[in-house]
Amino acid sequence: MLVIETVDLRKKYRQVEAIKGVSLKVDKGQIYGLLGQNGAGKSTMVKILLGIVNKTSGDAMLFGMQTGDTATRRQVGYLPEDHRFPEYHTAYSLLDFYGMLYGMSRTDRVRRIPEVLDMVGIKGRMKDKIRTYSKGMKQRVGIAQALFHDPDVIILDEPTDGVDPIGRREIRAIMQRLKEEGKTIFLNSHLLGEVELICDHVAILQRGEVIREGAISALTQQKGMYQIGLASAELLPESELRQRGYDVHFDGVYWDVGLKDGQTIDPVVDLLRERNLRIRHLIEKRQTLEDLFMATVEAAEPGVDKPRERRDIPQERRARR
Amino acid sequence: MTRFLAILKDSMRETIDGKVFLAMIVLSSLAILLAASLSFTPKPADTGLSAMTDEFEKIPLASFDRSYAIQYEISDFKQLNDARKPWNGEYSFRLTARDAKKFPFKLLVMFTGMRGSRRNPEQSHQDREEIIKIVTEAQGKPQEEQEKYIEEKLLQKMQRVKAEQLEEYIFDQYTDRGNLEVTSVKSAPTPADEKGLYAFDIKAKGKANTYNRWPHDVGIFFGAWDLYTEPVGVAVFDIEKWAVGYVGGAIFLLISSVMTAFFIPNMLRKGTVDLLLSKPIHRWSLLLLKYFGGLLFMFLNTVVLIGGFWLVMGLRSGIWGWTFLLMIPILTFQFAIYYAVSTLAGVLSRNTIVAILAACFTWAFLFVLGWMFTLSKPVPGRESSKFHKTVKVIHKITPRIGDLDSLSTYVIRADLLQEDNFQKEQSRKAVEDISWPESISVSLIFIALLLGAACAWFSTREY
Repeated sequence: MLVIETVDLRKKYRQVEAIKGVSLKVDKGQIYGLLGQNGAGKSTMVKILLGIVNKTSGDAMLFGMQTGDTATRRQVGYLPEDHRFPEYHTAYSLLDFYGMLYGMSRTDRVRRIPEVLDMVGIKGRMKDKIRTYSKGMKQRVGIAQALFHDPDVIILDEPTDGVDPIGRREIRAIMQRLKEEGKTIFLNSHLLGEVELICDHVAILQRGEVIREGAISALTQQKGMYQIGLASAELLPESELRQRGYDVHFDGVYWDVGLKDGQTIDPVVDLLRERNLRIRHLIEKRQTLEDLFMATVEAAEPGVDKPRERRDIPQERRARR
Repeated sequence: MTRFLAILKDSMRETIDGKVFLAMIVLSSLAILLAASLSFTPKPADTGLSAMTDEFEKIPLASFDRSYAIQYEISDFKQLNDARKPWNGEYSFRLTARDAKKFPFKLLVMFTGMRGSRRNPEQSHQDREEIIKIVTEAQGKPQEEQEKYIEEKLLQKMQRVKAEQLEEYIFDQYTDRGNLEVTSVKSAPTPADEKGLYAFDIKAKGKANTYNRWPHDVGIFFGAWDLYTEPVGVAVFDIEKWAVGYVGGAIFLLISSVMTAFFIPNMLRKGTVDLLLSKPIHRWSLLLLKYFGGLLFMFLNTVVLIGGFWLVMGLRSGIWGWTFLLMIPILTFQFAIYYAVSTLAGVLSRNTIVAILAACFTWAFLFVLGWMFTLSKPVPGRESSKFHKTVKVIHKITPRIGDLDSLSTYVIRADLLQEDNFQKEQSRKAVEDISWPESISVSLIFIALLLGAACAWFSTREY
């Protein structure tokens, strides 16, 4: 069942096209990561899904309904980036306030508030004013308010921003638990290591366009690259393997063996056995999400991290600068 | 309802957190405490009856000075029953009236009688006709002779004023202005060599509402400072008029506007508004709930201030003017107008200072507009100036704050002043002359338009 779906979604702010025909599909129970550099359009995407920002064209649907519908928002929990809770609230009163806006009964609110604050680890300070909280604690309150009304889909924009490593692990655990409960999580994050650890699917957004999308396992797989380790003092017959057409490279500990089209790793293993070499390590090599991200972004637009050139300034003026 | 309560509680928290609410409570409490320190000490019977003459009509025109004022004195005072409270007593006493330096007592009686006599309306009518005739005749004479002619004729006519007319005048003064039940007024002899001196033997007793007109010494700080002597009803009216009707009301509205002006801009701050907009509530509903939350908050504050003031004044003075409580909806309605302006300015600018300035500017604009409208009104029979026509059009389509001010003055006066009180008559007439369905509709439409514009902007804006 599709929880989130966008079809050729576009958003234009005057002259700037922030989203350029994005099509995404998020299934129920998935943890879906949206990656991208600053200004790639991630937050705009999320705001369109919540009806905070209007789309220019295309479709954006939540549970099969066009976004912006108030009844649909009841099923969504949202943690914005750079959120700013009213500091006159305590964590308790804030959740009580939001719970009332969601139409939750008093009994449910009284039961659920300590429960969810305990889950994010700030139950002990729930009666303190938010202004006395650290950044990490405010982030935990943010996650608590996103989960408070037991939504089916949770949209988190940089959920671990400002949270210490232990806190991050706890938040990852919470997300994992929510996934097990069948919740769908849509995650915007810069922390690629974390995304890799918890997400099933990712999409990489570059200047408003999806340049790569798919299951993490599939995206990070490096087809045709194996890593081999042998027992101490034994050496891989590199020259023989090269003669047979394999790419071989020694990194000081392991040998990376690259396959060409039609080749398999089995003849390599057979050769090592024939030579009575003892294989201690053999894995199909994968790339990290960070590698993938960097490679994808660089391939899509080389030098993208460099400041954009002002297209409206004539060449000679740019040169003078 | 739950959402409304949520917004209301949230606004309450926000206000309490900003120290303005505390300042408001302190100011209201100070005003109520100050009112509680007022003391109203009734005059004893003899001096009370004497002080009552201060309320009598003493001069023919309000612009005349003291040299035109008749002087009264009380003697041979006796209490005829054993009532403990002076306003419940039955008394006999002699009242003497002495001609003023520049104005005879009889002429004052004649002038007063011209306005209408209870017992002899025909005489009253005849007097009026004759005086009009004298003035008309005078106008046919040269300028320098006119004043002398009128004076001579009036003095001649004055001689025809009978003893019964003088008695009737004294009867009416004690009945209407002293609120006493006068059982007898008889002219008494005066020394033959004392010209311009009149004496009356009077019997009178208190009625159910004599207390309202009984002269009291008014003091502050529990009597440490004496302020003045006045009928207690008038004293309470004066205090309530200044403390709530004029200065207090304006300050209260100003502080309330400041106190609530940051509700909307704070709600629209980046990072806060996203959280609210992601909740299952329509934007217009969110904004209107915030508006009504602010309004209800102001209403509760007004209940505390007006209710507290009314209670304290009632306990201290024994006067319970119920219509004074109508100041609660009047002030709230007035605030609703300014708050609608503040809400629209807050939504458009997302800036508290702009919202406060917009509300204050509206207050000043409507005040000046009402003032210009009244001042530029043409004399009956004359054609309106272009300026007045322009002001009239703007006045017609904007909230009538002046109407609400007139109503405030009337509701404060209504229960405290006598029916025949000139000020009360004036304010009643002012209120009756206002077309209330039109006045209220214009204000309501103004509020609806501003809130509609604010909702439309908020609903379509991207945050």
